[in-house]
Amino acid sequence: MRINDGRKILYILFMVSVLLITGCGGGEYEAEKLLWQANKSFAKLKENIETAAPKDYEEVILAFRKLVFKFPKWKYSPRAQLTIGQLYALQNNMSKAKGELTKVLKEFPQDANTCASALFAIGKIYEDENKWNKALENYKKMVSDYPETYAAYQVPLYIAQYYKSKNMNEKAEGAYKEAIEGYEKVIKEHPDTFASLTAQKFIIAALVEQKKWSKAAEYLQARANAYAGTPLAVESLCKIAVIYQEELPSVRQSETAYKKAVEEYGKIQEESRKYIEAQEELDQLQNIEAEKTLKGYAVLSLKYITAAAVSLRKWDDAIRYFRELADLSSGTPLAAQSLITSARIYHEQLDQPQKAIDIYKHLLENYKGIKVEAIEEKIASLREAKKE
Amino acid sequence: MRIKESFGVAKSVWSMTFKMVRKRPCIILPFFVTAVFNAVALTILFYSPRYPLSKIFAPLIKAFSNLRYLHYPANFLLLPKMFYYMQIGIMLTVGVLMFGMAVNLIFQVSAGEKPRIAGSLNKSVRRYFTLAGVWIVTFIISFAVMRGSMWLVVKTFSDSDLFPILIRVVRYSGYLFVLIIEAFLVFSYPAAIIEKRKLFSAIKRSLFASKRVFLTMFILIAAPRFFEVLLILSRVRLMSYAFRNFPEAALIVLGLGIAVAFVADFLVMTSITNLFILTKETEA
Repeated sequence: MRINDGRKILYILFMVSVLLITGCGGGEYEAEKLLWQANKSFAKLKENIETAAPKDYEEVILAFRKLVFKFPKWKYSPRAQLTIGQLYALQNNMSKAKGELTKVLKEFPQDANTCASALFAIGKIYEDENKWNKALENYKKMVSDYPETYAAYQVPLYIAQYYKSKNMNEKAEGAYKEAIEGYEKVIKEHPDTFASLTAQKFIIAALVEQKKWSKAAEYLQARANAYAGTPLAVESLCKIAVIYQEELPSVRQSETAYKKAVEEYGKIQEESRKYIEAQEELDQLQNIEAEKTLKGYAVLSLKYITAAAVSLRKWDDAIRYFRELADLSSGTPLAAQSLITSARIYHEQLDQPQKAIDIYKHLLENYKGIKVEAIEEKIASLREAKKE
Repeated sequence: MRIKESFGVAKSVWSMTFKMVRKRPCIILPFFVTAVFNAVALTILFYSPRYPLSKIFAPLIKAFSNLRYLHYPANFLLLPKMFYYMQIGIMLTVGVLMFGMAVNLIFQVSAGEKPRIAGSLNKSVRRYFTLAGVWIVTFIISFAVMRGSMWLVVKTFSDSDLFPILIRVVRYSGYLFVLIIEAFLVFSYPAAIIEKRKLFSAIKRSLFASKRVFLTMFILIAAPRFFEVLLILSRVRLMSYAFRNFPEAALIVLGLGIAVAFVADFLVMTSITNLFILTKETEA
């Protein structure tokens, strides 16, 4: 082979590589990148929402608008358009918000979930403007036009809650009955699906709001059995424990449910621990993600258990689980809040002010972003109380 | 050999190596070729979520992992792992050939001859199975030492309070053992090319020859590889820390790894080959 032929081949290979690589652009990947960046700026805005200026909102709106403009046919563009509407609503610019939300219905009719969410958001705006009839119209349109969406499932219960909040008891009673019948129909027609899980959740909420405790406990027990080993089971058992303690006085059944909740949490905690440390380095990045998910389950379960322990006045357990929650979510506001709550329990329930002081001091040393003056005041008042 | 003497010899070997490279820069070429292959592999993997490369990679990612890694920014979570496997493939093919080519070029230069690139490559290709065999043996032993020790600690001490500390100790000392293993086996490459030995003969030659100059060899390997090991140890933290704000950091860190490996491999192979030639002369 002559040198010129070799050079020609190299040149062709080089051009093909350049074309291939530069051709690998645009499309869904670019859209995902834009969405991620827009969501990140939205999250940043939400963190500082109280001090956000109109230009901060405009920046985020522009990011989402760019995405919708560049990729109108992309599957997440309807969601981006919905977010634009929500951003205007956050700024109390309701007319613009309604306009942007209506665009979702006009431009993305194929995306049922987002259209239902847009109708709900429009209904909420009307509700806030005290135009209940217009709001109800939108809510009913959600159920009739998009019956299989999560947002539509919320509507019957939401309507009942509205009437209850306005002390329209007869209408509330009727709405709850209609809601529960509708949800039971969903469970019958779509067993073992996400729809049935959602319907169960709303039935339980409806029964609790109507104070039908025995029925609520029954549904919760069924859910705990069906989803054993998950945070759902922990949540259900904790709620059963609180119901039996406070509403259907049966200490024995309350204790049983609480013990089972702790056992379920134990299983989740064990799974979470296995991901720590002993994984090959290359998998660490992926396992950091998996660990986050499992840690997330453990944190969620602990939230339910701590709430149950406080309701059941199991103070030693509450402190122990708040500490575990603080360890698992170390360095976050949740950890700080958990420590503050355990300090309050030491002081207000167990009459151990020194332990409360130690926790507050630990907070001052290790947590930035907490209200330092408030904590220092607490320490000072506890020291005064000790002297007395 | 005493420590001071070993440092002295290492210094002389490096001095000889740098003079050689200044005189005949073509010695860098084999390592540059390997680095280019690694860079191209990384580029292909970076573009793998996008059309048309996604047509090839999507079924593979679906089969061995999860489709979420085809989407931004999760693709950067899988990128290091995919690149690692690509690097193994590159080393087993192009990498060992380039090692062999580099050894022959250095041998020619040290003998006062004009380095012949095509001839060196040809010689390396003819010794390919021996070179690949040496690399595989080194890889397997290193893998067994690192994974085996981790497995033992997990099996025996996972319930102990010392478990987190032990895991870290084993992980960091594992890298040290890998360098020691390399020190024992790296003479196999020049033995295969210069003395035209077969696989087990080359390994045996390396084990015996390296015993006499072990400390010097360890210095010649550990010093260049120090930054490579530092980067490996810190890259997971760097990438996971940066991931939330700048997922592309994974690409930058891996790219930096290619550059560092290029320099480390060049320094290690050239200096070790020069030491082998010196050792051979003193034996004669």
